[in-house]
Amino acid sequence: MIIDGHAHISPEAHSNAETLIAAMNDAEVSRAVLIPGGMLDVRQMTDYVTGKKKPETVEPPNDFVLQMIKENPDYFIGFCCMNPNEKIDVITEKLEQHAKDGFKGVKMAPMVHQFSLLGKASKSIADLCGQLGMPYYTHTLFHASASTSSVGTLAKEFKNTNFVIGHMGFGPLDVEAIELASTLDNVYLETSTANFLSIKMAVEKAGAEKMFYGSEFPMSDPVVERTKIERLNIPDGQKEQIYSKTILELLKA
Amino acid sequence: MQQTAHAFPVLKAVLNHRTSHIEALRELYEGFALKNKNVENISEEERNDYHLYAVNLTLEHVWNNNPYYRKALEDKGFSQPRLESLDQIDRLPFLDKEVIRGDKDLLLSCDPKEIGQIHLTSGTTGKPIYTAYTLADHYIHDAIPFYPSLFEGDSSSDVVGIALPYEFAQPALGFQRLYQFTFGATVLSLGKGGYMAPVDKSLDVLKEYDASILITTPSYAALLAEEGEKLGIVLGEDITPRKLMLTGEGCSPQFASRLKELWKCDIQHLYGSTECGLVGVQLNDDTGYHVLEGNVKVEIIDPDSGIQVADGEEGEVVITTLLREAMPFIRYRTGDIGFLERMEDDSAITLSKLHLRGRMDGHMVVDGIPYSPFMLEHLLLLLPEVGLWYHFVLEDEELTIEIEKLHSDLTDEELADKVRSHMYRTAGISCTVLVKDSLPRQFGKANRIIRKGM
Repeated sequence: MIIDGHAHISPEAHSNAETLIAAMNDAEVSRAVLIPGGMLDVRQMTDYVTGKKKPETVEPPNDFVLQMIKENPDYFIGFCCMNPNEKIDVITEKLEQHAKDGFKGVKMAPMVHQFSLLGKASKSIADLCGQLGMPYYTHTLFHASASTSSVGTLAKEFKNTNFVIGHMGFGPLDVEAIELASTLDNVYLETSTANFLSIKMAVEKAGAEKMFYGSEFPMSDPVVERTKIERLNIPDGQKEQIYSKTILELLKA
Repeated sequence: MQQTAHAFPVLKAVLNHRTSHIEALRELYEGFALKNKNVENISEEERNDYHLYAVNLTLEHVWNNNPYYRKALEDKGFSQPRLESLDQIDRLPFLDKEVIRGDKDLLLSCDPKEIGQIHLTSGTTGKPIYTAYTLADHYIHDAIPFYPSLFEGDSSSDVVGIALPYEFAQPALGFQRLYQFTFGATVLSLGKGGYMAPVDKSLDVLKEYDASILITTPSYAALLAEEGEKLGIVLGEDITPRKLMLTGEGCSPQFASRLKELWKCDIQHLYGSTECGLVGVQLNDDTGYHVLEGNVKVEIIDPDSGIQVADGEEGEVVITTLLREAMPFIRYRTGDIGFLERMEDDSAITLSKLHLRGRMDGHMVVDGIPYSPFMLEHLLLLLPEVGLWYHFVLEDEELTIEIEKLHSDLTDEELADKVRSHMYRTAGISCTVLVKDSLPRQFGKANRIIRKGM
């Protein structure tokens, strides 16, 4: 079985359920973890990175993800995206409701919400994730407040929470992300859009059990991202770990 | 001359001053001059020899005249006040601020009757630090080294506005002496917005006397420019300084760049303190301060271990004054952070460069991450819509930036959003931004950081 651990979805044609399912079928991916999409138009991604464009919206379309899961229960699992700029009691209430609604994890968006991973709101989300058994997934950025290092700090503080560093960390090869996954029990790596060498090194150092496959659909593609895993010179059992076992363990936790 | 000196006690004190240990340094300077050199362009070897000699003269002076230093040296194993090589300077004890706070006599190394001037620090962080000078310290010793490149040009025709506090603090009187007695300039003693020197009068005087140099703090330069605009004074036309010399508080390169645009002249940064006097001078648009190595010996140490760090490595700035009779400062820990850059012997100016990186206690911790206020200021002021008056309000490690809008059509909300986004993208700092109609102007040392709940 292959599970895509990270696929964005929105009503737009290039990133809707139909397009995603077609891509999943091409890649022989049976299920996908949906992340709310559309806050950034990935077709203009660099403009957001450079600050030329502001996010289309800061309100995470979690309801749309929930709708897609209900309409396609055999295909999709959902992560909700939390906005840490809201008041902490509002965040807590929303996250608890999302868990009841069936979301299985949290996805943080530093580029959209421009927050500090080590701020109070982020920490309250990390804490609650641990209580609810939901992984805390985040991208990391260049600067200190949303760095890979900050994820490490969070992971040490919230030992009962599983943290996922998206896209294997920041930049072309984030050795710190690999190091964190190899030394901290509760840090994992998601592989989408990462360089092949980064994935290869992570398997060697952190192990397949700390990694799971993702596509970063629609920015990338399930077939393209699968190729990186297929190219690894590792036993099939480890590939299976990356393809499904790690994410299933995280979602069951 | 004797009759004249008798009639004028100051002149008598200065000219007939008993020979101090510092007079022995004149020979070295005469030696440099014979080789057509001065302290700005001597070789590293010559400078080290000079520093060793000057430090030993100071050690002998304090050994014989100050019980505190004598004991401190003896406690460090010194049986005589002498270093055999400059490398041994790390054997000398450090001098900490807290030891000398509130004690006017601890470091005094002369007969109190010889004291001609007292200065003290503002005492904003505790009891003030007192410094004492003989008249010779001020009018003879300080003027022994000559820095023709750092203070280039013939200043005898300059009209120098000194907009620094004259009460207690050293810088205003220090620059007054420098420009009057050493350079022969005309001085306008403006002070800093005090009772007798309101801002509008200061601007009038600068205009009336066509001041060619203005020495002040960055925040007061901003205030003068702002008030000048309100009064219809056009900088660059009505007041046309050839340079603005900034001292007394730090500022970011972007703040200085804004001042350069406002005042339409070159900026020169100066680094010093009430305790140690003028320590470094920035030249032109160079980064870093050339250290006045005729007056001081600067070291950089690891603040935790106290061990000297290599050139280029950051650490705490430690200063030893070389030309002080009344109150030498030996291995004084300033609390400033920086690194030293050594110049090659064939450089036009071989004086080491000191690059400052803020203060040890100056960082702001936001969400667990330390940030330099100057770095944040620099990034903040990259936005032309943000005025020069701002606050960083820190409460429970959360940052609110208060700003004034400057010439912008953006609504307050739009500007706040723009600033917030900009600070996140450039500094990686998460913050709330409040646009205020007006923020209080400060005549004292600008304090941009407001720490609440502490």
